[in-house]
Amino acid sequence: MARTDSASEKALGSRRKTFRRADLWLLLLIALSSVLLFVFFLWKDTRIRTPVLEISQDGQVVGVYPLSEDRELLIGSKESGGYNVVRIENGKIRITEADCPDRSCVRSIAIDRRGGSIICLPHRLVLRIADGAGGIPDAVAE
Amino acid sequence: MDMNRSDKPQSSIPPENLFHTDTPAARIALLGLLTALSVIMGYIEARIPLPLPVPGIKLGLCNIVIVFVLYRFGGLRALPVSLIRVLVIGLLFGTPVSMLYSASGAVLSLLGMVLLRKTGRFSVIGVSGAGGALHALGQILVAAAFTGGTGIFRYLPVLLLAGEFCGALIGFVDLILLRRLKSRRNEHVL
Repeated sequence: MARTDSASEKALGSRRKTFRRADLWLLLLIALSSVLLFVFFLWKDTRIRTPVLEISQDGQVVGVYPLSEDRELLIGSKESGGYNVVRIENGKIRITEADCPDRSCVRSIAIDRRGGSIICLPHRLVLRIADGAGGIPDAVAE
Repeated sequence: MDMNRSDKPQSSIPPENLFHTDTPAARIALLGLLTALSVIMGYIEARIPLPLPVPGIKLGLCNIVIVFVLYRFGGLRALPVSLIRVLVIGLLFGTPVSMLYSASGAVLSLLGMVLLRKTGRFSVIGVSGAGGALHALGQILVAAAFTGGTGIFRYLPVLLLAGEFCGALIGFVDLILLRRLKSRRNEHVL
């Protein structure tokens, strides 16, 4: 308890200074690391040779699809609940319909061959652009 | 917890006693009140969903209370307040899974804030900003475990930045709060 008290006294004693240089460095460090992470993901996307759509649920890949063909996929079932409708159209992938509580997957920005991912957390569904160099796109798991 | 209460000097009010919480009952009542306040803030937030294309971004209004409790009562008391808030808000407006995300975010962020505050180098703004980023990190880690994939980490950069920004904003509010509640000599009223 005594340690907590000294900590709060320290904090209270220095309250006259609203924003300190150390704060700036701390916040800049966090901002910088997120920018670096962002650049890393961008770099990773440029390495993709043959982009395919990889759909996984609960950590398991449930399907791999080429981006060249337009199609609409139903993940889950509308009767029992917990579904997402995925649409591939002109090389762009979106979730057009879902019954999850937050619908943030429907609001997500469409992804295309340049990379990215769409996630529906309540349904533990992840759509991502993967490298289909192994020639998987023809052997679609449906 | 009350071990060295008697040998404290009477002249200066220790920081955690600014609310006249020298009896356990008074303290529990006040902490309960603050917990309820943070639940109400969570309710307000649940009523205004942000139409953002990335899941999980919230202003985190209820963290105003958590940071306040951290600074006035210490991490040991902020932890139960934070966890009860997560539980109640989760039961009322969330799902069991969303509760788990929030809980891991809350624990990680509080842990980080306690440590950063102990260094004595940072102001409330810095501590709270880092706390916001850690909250995002905690949520992402659990979400990654749930979705079992790395795809979720793509959201990490934007969530870290958003968390940091909102956290710093909340730290600013808390700075004002901590000052106001000290300068007005209302310790024995509240």
